[in-house]
Amino acid sequence: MKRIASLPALAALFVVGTTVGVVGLLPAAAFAVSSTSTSLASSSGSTSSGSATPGSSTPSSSSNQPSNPTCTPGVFAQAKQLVATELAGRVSQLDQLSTEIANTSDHLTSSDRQTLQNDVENFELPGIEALQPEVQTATTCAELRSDAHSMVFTYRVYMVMTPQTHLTIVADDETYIEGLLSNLESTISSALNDSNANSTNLSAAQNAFGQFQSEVSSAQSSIGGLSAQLLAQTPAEAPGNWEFFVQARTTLTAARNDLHSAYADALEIKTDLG
Amino acid sequence: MRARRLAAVVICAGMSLSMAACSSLVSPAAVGRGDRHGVSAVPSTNATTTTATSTTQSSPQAPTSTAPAATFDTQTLNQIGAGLGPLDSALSTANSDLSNPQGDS
Repeated sequence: MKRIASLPALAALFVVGTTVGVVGLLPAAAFAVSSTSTSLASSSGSTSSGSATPGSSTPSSSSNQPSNPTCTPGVFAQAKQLVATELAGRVSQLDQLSTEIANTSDHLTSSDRQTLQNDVENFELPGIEALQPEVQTATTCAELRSDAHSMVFTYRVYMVMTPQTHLTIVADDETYIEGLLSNLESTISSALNDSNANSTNLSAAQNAFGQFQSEVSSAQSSIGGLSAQLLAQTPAEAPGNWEFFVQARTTLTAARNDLHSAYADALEIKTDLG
Repeated sequence: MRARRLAAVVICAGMSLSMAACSSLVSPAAVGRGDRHGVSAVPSTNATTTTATSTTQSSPQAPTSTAPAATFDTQTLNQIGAGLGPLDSALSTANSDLSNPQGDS
Protein backbone atom coordinates (compact mmCIF):
# COMPACT_ATOMS: atom_id res chain seq x y z
CA MET A 1 0.00 0.00 0.00
CA LYS A 2 2.79 2.35 0.78
CA ARG A 3 4.08 1.62 -2.69
CA ILE A 4 0.90 2.87 -4.24
CA ALA A 5 1.46 6.18 -2.65
CA SER A 6 4.87 6.52 -4.14
CA LEU A 7 3.75 5.71 -7.63
CA PRO A 8 2.13 9.02 -8.39
CA ALA A 9 5.19 10.59 -6.94
CA LEU A 10 7.34 8.57 -9.31
CA ALA A 11 5.16 9.51 -12.21
CA ALA A 12 5.39 13.09 -11.15
CA LEU A 13 9.14 12.71 -11.03
CA PHE A 14 9.11 11.74 -14.67
CA VAL A 15 6.56 14.29 -15.73
CA VAL A 16 7.86 17.29 -13.91
CA GLY A 17 11.39 16.38 -14.75
CA THR A 18 10.55 16.54 -18.38
CA THR A 19 8.41 19.58 -18.09
CA VAL A 20 11.11 21.48 -16.36
CA GLY A 21 13.60 20.10 -18.79
CA VAL A 22 16.03 19.12 -16.10
CA VAL A 23 16.42 15.48 -16.95
CA GLY A 24 15.95 15.59 -20.66
CA LEU A 25 14.11 12.88 -22.53
CA LEU A 26 10.90 11.68 -20.96
CA PRO A 27 9.64 8.17 -21.67
CA ALA A 28 6.26 8.67 -23.20
CA ALA A 29 5.17 5.45 -21.58
CA ALA A 30 5.45 7.04 -18.20
CA PHE A 31 2.28 8.94 -18.89
CA ALA A 32 0.55 5.84 -20.14
CA VAL A 33 1.59 3.82 -17.13
CA SER A 34 0.43 6.50 -14.81
CA SER A 35 -3.01 6.50 -16.35
CA THR A 36 -3.09 2.71 -16.27
CA SER A 37 -2.41 2.75 -12.61
CA THR A 38 -5.35 4.95 -11.99
CA SER A 39 -7.69 2.82 -14.03
CA LEU A 40 -6.53 -0.41 -12.40
CA ALA A 41 -7.00 0.97 -8.96
CA SER A 42 -10.45 2.28 -9.72
CA SER A 43 -11.62 -0.85 -11.52
CA SER A 44 -10.33 -3.07 -8.76
CA GLY A 45 -12.40 -1.28 -6.21
CA SER A 46 -15.53 -3.02 -7.40
CA THR A 47 -14.01 -6.47 -7.09
CA SER A 48 -12.16 -5.93 -3.86
CA SER A 49 -12.72 -8.70 -1.37
CA GLY A 50 -12.48 -6.57 1.67
CA SER A 51 -8.85 -5.65 1.80
CA ALA A 52 -7.82 -2.12 2.43
CA THR A 53 -8.77 -0.12 -0.59
CA PRO A 54 -6.18 1.81 -2.55
CA GLY A 55 -8.23 4.92 -2.11
CA SER A 56 -7.99 4.83 1.65
CA SER A 57 -4.31 3.97 1.78
CA THR A 58 -3.01 6.32 -0.82
CA PRO A 59 -3.74 9.69 0.81
CA SER A 60 -2.31 8.82 4.21
CA SER A 61 0.85 7.39 2.71
CA SER A 62 1.13 10.23 0.28
CA SER A 63 1.30 12.66 3.08
CA ASN A 64 4.69 11.23 3.94
CA GLN A 65 6.04 11.86 0.48
CA PRO A 66 7.01 15.04 -1.29
CA SER A 67 3.79 16.30 -2.75
CA ASN A 68 5.23 16.90 -6.15
CA PRO A 69 8.79 15.71 -6.40
CA THR A 70 10.87 17.05 -9.18
CA CYS A 71 14.29 15.93 -10.13
CA THR A 72 16.05 19.18 -9.80
CA PRO A 73 19.29 19.67 -7.96
CA GLY A 74 17.29 20.92 -5.01
CA VAL A 75 15.28 17.72 -4.56
CA PHE A 76 17.68 15.24 -6.06
CA ALA A 77 18.33 13.58 -2.73
CA GLN A 78 14.60 13.13 -2.16
CA ALA A 79 14.11 11.72 -5.62
CA LYS A 80 16.97 9.32 -5.10
CA GLN A 81 15.50 8.21 -1.79
CA LEU A 82 12.16 7.65 -3.44
CA VAL A 83 13.62 5.37 -6.09
CA ALA A 84 15.73 3.55 -3.49
CA THR A 85 12.62 2.92 -1.42
CA GLU A 86 10.78 1.60 -4.44
CA LEU A 87 13.64 -0.75 -5.20
CA ALA A 88 13.76 -2.03 -1.63
CA GLY A 89 10.03 -2.67 -1.74
CA ARG A 90 10.46 -4.73 -4.85
CA VAL A 91 13.28 -6.75 -3.32
CA SER A 92 11.03 -7.54 -0.35
CA GLN A 93 8.21 -8.50 -2.66
CA LEU A 94 10.44 -10.80 -4.71
CA ASP A 95 11.82 -12.40 -1.54
CA GLN A 96 8.27 -13.04 -0.45
CA LEU A 97 7.37 -14.54 -3.81
CA SER A 98 10.47 -16.70 -3.72
CA THR A 99 9.46 -18.05 -0.33
CA GLU A 100 5.97 -18.82 -1.57
CA ILE A 101 7.27 -20.55 -4.67
CA ALA A 102 9.60 -22.72 -2.59
CA ASN A 103 6.83 -23.66 -0.20
CA THR A 104 6.16 -27.30 -0.97
CA SER A 105 2.91 -27.34 0.96
CA ASP A 106 1.26 -25.88 -2.10
CA HIS A 107 0.79 -28.02 -5.17
CA LEU A 108 2.84 -26.24 -7.77
CA THR A 109 4.03 -28.75 -10.31
CA SER A 110 7.77 -29.21 -10.31
CA SER A 111 8.12 -27.62 -13.73
CA ASP A 112 5.99 -24.62 -12.83
CA ARG A 113 7.90 -24.20 -9.59
CA GLN A 114 11.14 -24.33 -11.52
CA THR A 115 9.94 -21.76 -14.04
CA LEU A 116 8.82 -19.32 -11.38
CA GLN A 117 11.96 -19.81 -9.32
CA ASN A 118 14.05 -19.15 -12.37
CA ASP A 119 12.15 -15.96 -13.19
CA VAL A 120 12.38 -14.60 -9.67
CA GLU A 121 15.83 -15.70 -8.65
CA ASN A 122 17.70 -15.51 -11.92
CA PHE A 123 16.10 -12.52 -13.57
CA GLU A 124 13.92 -10.32 -11.42
CA LEU A 125 15.81 -10.28 -8.15
CA PRO A 126 19.32 -9.89 -9.57
CA GLY A 127 18.03 -7.21 -11.92
CA ILE A 128 16.37 -5.14 -9.21
CA GLU A 129 19.29 -5.62 -6.83
CA ALA A 130 21.70 -4.47 -9.52
CA LEU A 131 19.79 -1.20 -9.77
CA GLN A 132 20.18 -0.45 -6.08
CA PRO A 133 23.89 0.49 -6.18
CA GLU A 134 23.33 2.33 -9.42
CA VAL A 135 20.74 4.52 -7.76
CA GLN A 136 23.01 5.12 -4.81
CA THR A 137 25.78 6.29 -7.08
CA ALA A 138 23.58 8.28 -9.43
CA THR A 139 24.59 11.90 -9.64
CA THR A 140 22.18 13.20 -12.22
CA CYS A 141 18.46 13.13 -12.73
CA ALA A 142 18.98 11.41 -16.06
CA GLU A 143 20.73 8.52 -14.37
CA LEU A 144 18.10 8.35 -11.68
CA ARG A 145 15.25 8.41 -14.13
CA SER A 146 16.86 5.69 -16.23
CA ASP A 147 17.12 3.43 -13.19
CA ALA A 148 13.56 4.14 -12.15
CA HIS A 149 12.33 3.43 -15.64
CA SER A 150 14.12 0.09 -15.74
CA MET A 151 12.82 -0.81 -12.30
CA VAL A 152 9.25 -0.40 -13.47
CA PHE A 153 9.25 -1.34 -17.12
CA THR A 154 11.83 -4.12 -17.28
CA TYR A 155 10.73 -6.12 -14.26
CA ARG A 156 7.07 -5.38 -13.54
CA VAL A 157 7.36 -6.94 -10.10
CA TYR A 158 3.86 -5.96 -9.02
CA MET A 159 2.08 -5.92 -12.31
CA VAL A 160 3.25 -9.24 -13.77
CA MET A 161 5.49 -11.27 -11.49
CA THR A 162 3.21 -11.07 -8.47
CA PRO A 163 -0.14 -12.01 -10.03
CA GLN A 164 1.61 -14.51 -12.27
CA THR A 165 3.06 -16.33 -9.28
CA HIS A 166 -0.06 -16.29 -7.15
CA LEU A 167 -2.42 -17.26 -9.94
CA THR A 168 -0.17 -20.11 -11.02
CA ILE A 169 -0.17 -21.43 -7.48
CA VAL A 170 -3.97 -21.28 -7.51
CA ALA A 171 -4.17 -23.02 -10.89
CA ASP A 172 -1.90 -25.85 -9.77
CA ASP A 173 -3.69 -26.20 -6.45
CA GLU A 174 -6.94 -26.55 -8.33
CA THR A 175 -5.45 -29.05 -10.74
CA TYR A 176 -4.34 -31.16 -7.80
CA ILE A 177 -7.77 -31.13 -6.19
CA GLU A 178 -9.52 -31.75 -9.48
CA GLY A 179 -7.31 -34.82 -9.92
CA LEU A 180 -8.34 -36.19 -6.55
CA LEU A 181 -11.99 -35.64 -7.33
CA SER A 182 -11.66 -37.25 -10.74
CA ASN A 183 -10.13 -40.30 -9.14
CA LEU A 184 -13.14 -40.57 -6.88
CA GLU A 185 -15.50 -40.70 -9.82
CA SER A 186 -15.12 -44.38 -10.65
CA THR A 187 -15.20 -45.28 -6.99
CA ILE A 188 -18.44 -43.44 -6.48
CA SER A 189 -19.92 -45.02 -9.58
CA SER A 190 -19.12 -48.50 -8.28
CA ALA A 191 -20.50 -47.63 -4.90
CA LEU A 192 -23.78 -46.51 -6.43
CA ASN A 193 -24.06 -49.73 -8.41
CA ASP A 194 -23.38 -51.87 -5.39
CA SER A 195 -25.30 -49.86 -2.89
CA ASN A 196 -27.85 -51.39 -0.60
CA ALA A 197 -29.18 -47.99 0.34
CA ASN A 198 -32.91 -47.39 0.24
CA SER A 199 -34.37 -45.95 -2.92
CA THR A 200 -34.70 -42.44 -1.53
CA ASN A 201 -31.11 -42.21 -0.46
CA LEU A 202 -29.92 -43.93 -3.59
CA SER A 203 -31.81 -41.48 -5.75
CA ALA A 204 -30.37 -38.54 -3.85
CA ALA A 205 -26.90 -39.99 -4.18
CA GLN A 206 -27.37 -40.50 -7.91
CA ASN A 207 -28.50 -36.91 -8.34
CA ALA A 208 -25.54 -35.68 -6.35
CA PHE A 209 -23.26 -37.82 -8.46
CA GLY A 210 -24.61 -36.23 -11.63
CA GLN A 211 -23.83 -32.80 -10.21
CA PHE A 212 -20.45 -34.02 -9.03
CA GLN A 213 -19.51 -35.19 -12.52
CA SER A 214 -20.66 -31.95 -14.09
CA GLU A 215 -18.74 -29.82 -11.60
CA VAL A 216 -15.53 -31.79 -11.89
CA SER A 217 -15.76 -31.66 -15.66
CA SER A 218 -16.39 -27.92 -15.58
CA ALA A 219 -13.44 -27.31 -13.30
CA GLN A 220 -11.24 -29.47 -15.46
CA SER A 221 -12.24 -27.51 -18.53
CA SER A 222 -11.58 -24.18 -16.81
CA ILE A 223 -8.17 -25.05 -15.44
CA GLY A 224 -6.81 -26.91 -18.44
CA GLY A 225 -3.72 -25.19 -19.82
CA LEU A 226 -4.18 -22.09 -17.71
CA SER A 227 -0.94 -22.33 -15.74
CA ALA A 228 1.04 -22.54 -18.98
CA GLN A 229 -0.71 -19.42 -20.25
CA LEU A 230 -0.02 -17.64 -16.99
CA LEU A 231 3.65 -18.52 -17.10
CA ALA A 232 3.89 -17.28 -20.66
CA GLN A 233 3.15 -13.69 -19.58
CA THR A 234 6.15 -11.39 -19.61
CA PRO A 235 6.97 -7.94 -18.24
CA ALA A 236 7.38 -6.69 -21.79
CA GLU A 237 3.70 -7.35 -22.45
CA ALA A 238 2.50 -5.23 -19.56
CA PRO A 239 0.19 -3.49 -19.09
CA GLY A 240 -1.55 -5.33 -21.91
CA ASN A 241 -1.58 -8.62 -20.02
CA TRP A 242 -3.26 -7.19 -16.96
CA GLU A 243 -6.64 -8.02 -18.39
CA PHE A 244 -5.48 -11.59 -18.92
CA PHE A 245 -4.64 -11.86 -15.22
CA VAL A 246 -8.03 -10.47 -14.28
CA GLN A 247 -9.75 -12.95 -16.57
CA ALA A 248 -7.66 -15.80 -15.20
CA ARG A 249 -8.71 -14.82 -11.70
CA THR A 250 -12.36 -15.01 -12.77
CA THR A 251 -11.83 -18.42 -14.36
CA LEU A 252 -10.00 -19.78 -11.34
CA THR A 253 -12.68 -18.47 -9.02
CA ALA A 254 -15.33 -20.31 -11.02
CA ALA A 255 -13.25 -23.48 -10.93
CA ARG A 256 -12.76 -23.09 -7.21
CA ASN A 257 -16.52 -22.90 -6.75
CA ASP A 258 -16.99 -26.03 -8.85
CA LEU A 259 -14.42 -27.91 -6.79
CA HIS A 260 -16.05 -26.89 -3.53
CA SER A 261 -19.45 -27.98 -4.83
CA ALA A 262 -18.08 -31.30 -6.07
CA TYR A 263 -16.53 -31.94 -2.69
CA ALA A 264 -19.84 -31.18 -0.99
CA ASP A 265 -21.58 -33.57 -3.36
CA ALA A 266 -19.06 -36.31 -2.59
CA LEU A 267 -19.74 -35.87 1.10
CA GLU A 268 -23.46 -36.04 0.47
CA ILE A 269 -23.13 -39.21 -1.57
CA LYS A 270 -21.07 -40.79 1.15
CA THR A 271 -23.75 -39.92 3.68
CA ASP A 272 -26.58 -41.13 1.43
CA LEU A 273 -24.95 -44.47 0.79
CA GLY A 274 -24.13 -44.93 4.42
CA MET B 1 -37.28 -111.50 -73.14
CA ARG B 2 -39.49 -111.91 -70.11
CA ALA B 3 -36.75 -113.60 -68.25
CA ARG B 4 -34.39 -110.76 -69.10
CA ARG B 5 -36.88 -108.15 -68.08
CA LEU B 6 -37.59 -109.98 -64.90
CA ALA B 7 -33.92 -110.24 -64.19
CA ALA B 8 -33.47 -106.53 -64.85
CA VAL B 9 -36.37 -105.68 -62.59
CA VAL B 10 -35.00 -107.89 -59.87
CA ILE B 11 -31.61 -106.34 -60.19
CA CYS B 12 -33.03 -102.86 -60.16
CA ALA B 13 -35.22 -103.65 -57.24
CA GLY B 14 -32.29 -105.10 -55.45
CA MET B 15 -30.21 -102.08 -56.16
CA SER B 16 -32.99 -99.81 -54.98
CA LEU B 17 -33.34 -101.73 -51.81
CA SER B 18 -29.67 -101.70 -51.19
CA MET B 19 -29.46 -97.97 -51.94
CA ALA B 20 -32.37 -97.30 -49.67
CA ALA B 21 -30.76 -99.38 -47.02
CA CYS B 22 -27.51 -97.55 -47.51
CA SER B 23 -29.14 -94.16 -47.32
CA SER B 24 -31.03 -95.07 -44.22
CA LEU B 25 -27.83 -96.17 -42.63
CA VAL B 26 -25.75 -93.25 -43.83
CA SER B 27 -28.19 -90.39 -43.19
CA PRO B 28 -28.67 -90.98 -39.54
CA ALA B 29 -24.96 -91.18 -39.17
CA ALA B 30 -24.43 -87.90 -40.96
CA VAL B 31 -27.14 -86.19 -39.00
CA GLY B 32 -25.74 -87.76 -35.96
CA ARG B 33 -22.34 -86.23 -36.61
CA GLY B 34 -23.93 -82.91 -37.27
CA ASP B 35 -26.00 -83.20 -34.19
CA ARG B 36 -23.05 -84.15 -32.16
CA HIS B 37 -21.27 -81.05 -33.20
CA GLY B 38 -24.40 -79.04 -32.66
CA VAL B 39 -25.15 -80.68 -29.43
CA SER B 40 -21.66 -80.39 -28.26
CA ALA B 41 -21.53 -76.74 -29.38
CA VAL B 42 -24.72 -75.74 -27.74
CA PRO B 43 -23.99 -77.19 -24.40
CA SER B 44 -20.48 -75.88 -24.52
CA THR B 45 -21.83 -72.45 -25.42
CA ASN B 46 -24.28 -72.69 -22.65
CA ALA B 47 -21.62 -73.84 -20.36
CA THR B 48 -19.37 -70.99 -21.38
CA THR B 49 -22.12 -68.48 -20.99
CA THR B 50 -23.07 -69.91 -17.71
CA THR B 51 -19.52 -69.86 -16.57
CA ALA B 52 -18.93 -66.38 -17.82
CA THR B 53 -22.11 -65.15 -16.25
CA SER B 54 -21.36 -66.66 -12.97
CA THR B 55 -17.86 -65.28 -13.15
CA THR B 56 -18.86 -61.74 -14.02
CA GLN B 57 -21.54 -61.76 -11.42
CA SER B 58 -19.40 -63.11 -8.74
CA SER B 59 -16.63 -60.55 -9.27
CA PRO B 60 -18.55 -57.44 -8.35
CA GLN B 61 -20.52 -59.30 -5.75
CA ALA B 62 -17.45 -60.16 -3.83
CA PRO B 63 -16.42 -56.56 -3.25
CA THR B 64 -20.03 -55.60 -2.71
CA SER B 65 -20.11 -57.44 0.50
CA THR B 66 -16.97 -55.75 1.74
CA ALA B 67 -16.46 -52.59 -0.29
CA PRO B 68 -19.31 -50.18 0.43
CA ALA B 69 -17.72 -48.83 3.53
CA ALA B 70 -14.39 -48.52 1.81
CA THR B 71 -15.92 -46.90 -1.25
CA PHE B 72 -15.25 -43.41 -0.09
CA ASP B 73 -12.02 -43.83 1.58
CA THR B 74 -11.93 -41.08 4.10
CA GLN B 75 -8.34 -40.41 3.30
CA THR B 76 -9.11 -39.10 -0.17
CA LEU B 77 -11.96 -36.96 1.06
CA ASN B 78 -9.74 -35.60 3.80
CA GLN B 79 -7.06 -34.80 1.26
CA ILE B 80 -9.54 -32.86 -0.80
CA GLY B 81 -10.92 -31.05 2.20
CA ALA B 82 -7.42 -30.21 3.36
CA GLY B 83 -6.54 -28.87 -0.06
CA LEU B 84 -9.53 -26.58 -0.37
CA GLY B 85 -8.49 -24.36 2.53
CA PRO B 86 -5.07 -23.43 1.13
CA LEU B 87 -6.64 -23.02 -2.28
CA ASP B 88 -9.04 -20.42 -0.91
CA SER B 89 -6.16 -18.68 0.79
CA ALA B 90 -4.09 -18.62 -2.40
CA LEU B 91 -7.02 -17.31 -4.39
CA SER B 92 -7.60 -14.61 -1.81
CA THR B 93 -3.98 -13.52 -2.17
CA ALA B 94 -4.30 -13.41 -5.95
CA ASN B 95 -7.50 -11.40 -5.57
CA SER B 96 -5.66 -8.94 -3.40
CA ASP B 97 -2.93 -8.54 -6.04
CA LEU B 98 -5.46 -7.67 -8.67
CA SER B 99 -7.80 -5.66 -6.52
CA ASN B 100 -5.08 -3.61 -4.86
CA PRO B 101 -2.23 -3.34 -7.32
CA GLN B 102 0.82 -2.04 -5.57
CA GLY B 103 2.82 -0.57 -8.37
CA ASP B 104 4.66 -0.89 -11.62
CA SER B 105 2.17 1.40 -13.15
